[in-house]
Amino acid sequence: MASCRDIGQLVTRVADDEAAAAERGRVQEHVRACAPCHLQLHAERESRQLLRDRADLLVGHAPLGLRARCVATRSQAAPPVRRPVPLLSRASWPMALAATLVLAVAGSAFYGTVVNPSKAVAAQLALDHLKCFTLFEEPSGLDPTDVQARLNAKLGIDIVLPSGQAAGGLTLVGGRRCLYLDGSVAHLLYRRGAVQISLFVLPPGAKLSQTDLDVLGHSAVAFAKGGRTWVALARASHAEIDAIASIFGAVAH
Amino acid sequence: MEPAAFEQDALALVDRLYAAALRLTRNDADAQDLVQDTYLRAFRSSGQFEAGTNLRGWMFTILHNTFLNQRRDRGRDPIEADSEVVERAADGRPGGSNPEELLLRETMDADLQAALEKLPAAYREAVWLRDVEQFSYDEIAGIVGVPIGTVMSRISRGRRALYDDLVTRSREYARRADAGGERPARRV
Repeated sequence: MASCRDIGQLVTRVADDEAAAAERGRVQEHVRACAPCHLQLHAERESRQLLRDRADLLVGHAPLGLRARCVATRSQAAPPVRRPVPLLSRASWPMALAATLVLAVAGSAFYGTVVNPSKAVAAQLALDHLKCFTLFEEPSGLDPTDVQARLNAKLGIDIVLPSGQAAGGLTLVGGRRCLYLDGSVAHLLYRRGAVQISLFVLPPGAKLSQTDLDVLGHSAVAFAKGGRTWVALARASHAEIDAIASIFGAVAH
Repeated sequence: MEPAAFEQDALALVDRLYAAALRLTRNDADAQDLVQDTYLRAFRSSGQFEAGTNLRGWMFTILHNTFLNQRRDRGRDPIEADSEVVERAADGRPGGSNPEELLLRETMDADLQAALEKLPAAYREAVWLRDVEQFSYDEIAGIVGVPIGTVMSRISRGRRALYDDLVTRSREYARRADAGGERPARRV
């Protein structure tokens, strides 16, 4: 009779109904006389059947919005289109003008093949906004200095975030790296009263072709500062989000 | 393969990839990020995919490799491959008899999910790919990047650990019932 060691992988093949008749015979002969191997075969069959019976239930459905996020990556994967568009920025420009780049963001360079790249990017940012406020908000708030240090260490983003009176009543409640645009986007979560506000800091070179966008019930305003494009987004009126963007524009660099 | 056809076929796998990602990351947010990153890489490499070959296996391979890269980037521990706990579990702990088997077949889905969660990551992935996704041993070896013998060993040990966990839970329910308690309500 074959040893337990010899029979090892054959047991799995028998449990999977993939063993040849001769192999099945060897295993059956062995397990008749070997309780541990008999139990092993029984356990493998039971687990296999249980999982197969419930496979559909176990797989289930991906969360709403994930498919849209995946679709959005299609445009990111497109080869970059060379367009020598200078990254705005004259520090003296008022906020509204600086927002020349804006929302529809990373647009031209990254989304050359998309029909409306601005809208696609805005939709992505709005989905990230919704997801992150659901999953990552810190109820007690965060110290902007700590978040700045983390962004610098993890993403190499050297920025200054508004704090104290300069924050205009905004409370920093989260900060994380978004996988969007190769994981090079910083996402900062703020609150002012009941309003949830996201500030996205895009990587150098990512530019926007529109300044104001409405998407999924959210408004977004973009501006350029320090060689980067920043996008403020919230479920608020354009006037409100513009005022909030001004706070970031005045302080952040 | 036409980009539109590739995109359509690839996106049809989002539910399955998310489910597998959830078993790898054990966290909804990380699973969503992992799937999104997987699609980004897949679309970027779509030119390398040969039409008519195994797109599902190709996508799961990207998912697996992306997961490993993310773990490495985040400085987390590597996947445990041969947990001693499971080694012991595979070595002849008492299993089920007929009454237990009946209870086992009635195992609540929540228990099954919990038992899967408890498996060492490498075993959980192997069992998932084999019994839920029904990939062949050969395909799993390609996805995970280990020899077929290792795949079969992980499947074998994973199934056994799963079974032992479920039997233990069934016995606990039986013990509570004998003591006059009730079986926990079925959870979704």
